[in-house]
Amino acid sequence: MVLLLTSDNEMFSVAEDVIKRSAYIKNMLEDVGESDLPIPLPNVESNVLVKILEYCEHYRGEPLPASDVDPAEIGDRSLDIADWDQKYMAVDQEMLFEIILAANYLDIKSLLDVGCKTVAKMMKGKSSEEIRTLFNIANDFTPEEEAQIRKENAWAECR
Amino acid sequence: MAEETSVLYLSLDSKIYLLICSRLDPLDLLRLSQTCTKMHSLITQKPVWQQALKTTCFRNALFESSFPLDLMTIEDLKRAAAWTCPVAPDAPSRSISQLRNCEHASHRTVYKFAVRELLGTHWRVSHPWRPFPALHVESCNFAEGSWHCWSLVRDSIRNHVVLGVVYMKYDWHVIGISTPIRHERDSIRFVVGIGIPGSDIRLRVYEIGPIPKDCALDRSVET
Repeated sequence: MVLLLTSDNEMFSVAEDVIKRSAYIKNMLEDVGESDLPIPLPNVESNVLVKILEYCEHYRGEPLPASDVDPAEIGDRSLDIADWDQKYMAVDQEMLFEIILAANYLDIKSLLDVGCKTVAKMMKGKSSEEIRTLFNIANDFTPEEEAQIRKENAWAECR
Repeated sequence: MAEETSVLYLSLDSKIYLLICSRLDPLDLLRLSQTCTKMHSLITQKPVWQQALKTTCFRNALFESSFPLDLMTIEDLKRAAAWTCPVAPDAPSRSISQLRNCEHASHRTVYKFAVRELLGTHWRVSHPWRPFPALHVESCNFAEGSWHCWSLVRDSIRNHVVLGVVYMKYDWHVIGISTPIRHERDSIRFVVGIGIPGSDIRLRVYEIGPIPKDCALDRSVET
């Protein structure tokens, strides 16, 4: 078992083959070897870690992806998401971005990829204004800048 | 809560944004870049558009290494990425029969190039192809009407970039609309879709090159 200590000081005890989906922790275990000391995860809160572990648990036993393969580089650029992953990602936006951040930090490529696909899917086909509303982004362009950008992109809009 | 989401969203690092962007279509990217200054500065970076162009190549069964990604300006990249392949599923099937009519008799003589003003005058000016409009302009006139037929003779291919190719051999109609391609000294590399008359074009992609020796190129088409 591996001990993990979250940013809010909660201790988790996790089976090694489950948490090894995180390349970050896998490498750490390989470097440090057996240890009774908990691994601190200062960037991950316990509620997020629970969610991350749910993912790792589900894919327990599945082969780990080759560590140096970037999914976007091997030609998979679809937005298809497996059913289970879709359900897993059906969380509020805050949790969605927390999962993405944690997956990035813990280096769980497949999860990071699913997270990014989910966000891309939310953005797809939406207007700038709709994207702003969706993610609550403030429009911080000056009117001049906005006009300029519109002009730059005019060729694409008239297609 | 909503405020927090916004902050969180904008705090994702650029590596993650690049991953998200790699999943978006060029038009989605442009719209996203219009949402706020942070998105705009992120999406006005070359890697995003190089990635987008790779995606376009992948989706349209084009040969991605045919693009000189490092040499292209960001505007070139944007336009090329937003380009949709004319041999894509909605290409008019009549183009097959028209192509069959146009050069079938001399099945191994002519390479024809369908060239579209894809990247603007910047590209056209630097590639002094002579237009060869007389015979086949119409047959190469795919959906948008902006195609022209060009011919190629062996001696003129060196160090040029080709925007597209229509190549026919025997009863197979190899219809390649490839995108900019680099040439070796005596070969051209391009990617083709292939179709049999009467059937749909299959978007299987081939790389042909060097030019087969038995494909004597007909110089008469030059005049």
